[in-house]
Amino acid sequence: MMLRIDMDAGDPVWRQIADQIRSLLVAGRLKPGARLATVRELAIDLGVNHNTVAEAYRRLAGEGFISLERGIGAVVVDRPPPRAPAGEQERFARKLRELVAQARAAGLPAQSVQAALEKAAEEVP
Amino acid sequence: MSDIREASVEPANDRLPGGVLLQLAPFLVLAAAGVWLAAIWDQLPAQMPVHWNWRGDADRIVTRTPLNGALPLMLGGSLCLMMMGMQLGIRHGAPRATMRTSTLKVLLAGEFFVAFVCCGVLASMVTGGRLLAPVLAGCFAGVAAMLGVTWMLVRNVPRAAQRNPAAWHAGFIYIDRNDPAIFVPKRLGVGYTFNFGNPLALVLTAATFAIPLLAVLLALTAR
Repeated sequence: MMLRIDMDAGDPVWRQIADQIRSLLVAGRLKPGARLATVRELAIDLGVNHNTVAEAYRRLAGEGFISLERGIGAVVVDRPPPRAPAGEQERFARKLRELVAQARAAGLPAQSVQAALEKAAEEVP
Repeated sequence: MSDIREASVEPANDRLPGGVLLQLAPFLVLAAAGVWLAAIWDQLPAQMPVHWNWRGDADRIVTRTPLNGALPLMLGGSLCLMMMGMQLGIRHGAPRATMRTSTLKVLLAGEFFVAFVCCGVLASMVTGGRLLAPVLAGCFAGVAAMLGVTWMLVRNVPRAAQRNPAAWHAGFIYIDRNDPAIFVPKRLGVGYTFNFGNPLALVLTAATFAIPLLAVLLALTAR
């Protein structure tokens, strides 16, 4: 399971790491009990500062996806399905509209955008 | 040039090749030679050759002292220690890749080669040069074997993705202070190079020169 980080993207690297690991977790590709690469390993593999990886892991731990224990590292936990807070649906719809607008502004045809959205929804249970 | 980096989210599962026993084996070979040396010490001549010219004539003789006798083993031990240090450095300070595992195996093979060569030099010393020819033949065969082993291990290794294009200077010097790696895949050729943005790289570079130099100086000052 590979992470792919674009160092020239506008998104901070820690956010790209957290987003991609979260996608794997939500898709069920990382099972509860599975260990993640250590902060040091991932930092060396990606060539980024340890704090960058540590921040990504802290965010995921804060969201309840992983536990961080000294001497053990990051372990995937069995996260109960969360209850969406009030307004989450609107927030998500707004982010999606922004993403679609960016894709269309970059020249992607509407059909491609729609197909990509449907594929993403199918891949993540 | 875009800077895309990939890494596995799973933990590393490679260890130093061969486990503890195989890692210690080169040192055990040298230690065994040391035990043999101690056992035959009283039978050794008062003067021992330590260097031969291209004709095979001994052109440097030293007095039989424990330090002089143990010099080849000390040189072998220091070189093996340095190569084991490189293994540990690459295992814990280089990005994970197929090349990492292959490199560790080549380094371990190199330790065995060094240990046997130094034992061969010792054997040549204590036999007054009678074993020089077979030891030399063994060295050449060992070099050929090392080249063969290295070729077999690296020929199918996929080329590592270029790491941080902006950090390369003069095409082959890598400097990135934000990169925690000590070793990074070379931009050209096979193997690793130091990340000189990591202070430890400078220390290790100095040690790479200092340790063999110290051993050679000890050898040259032997009387």
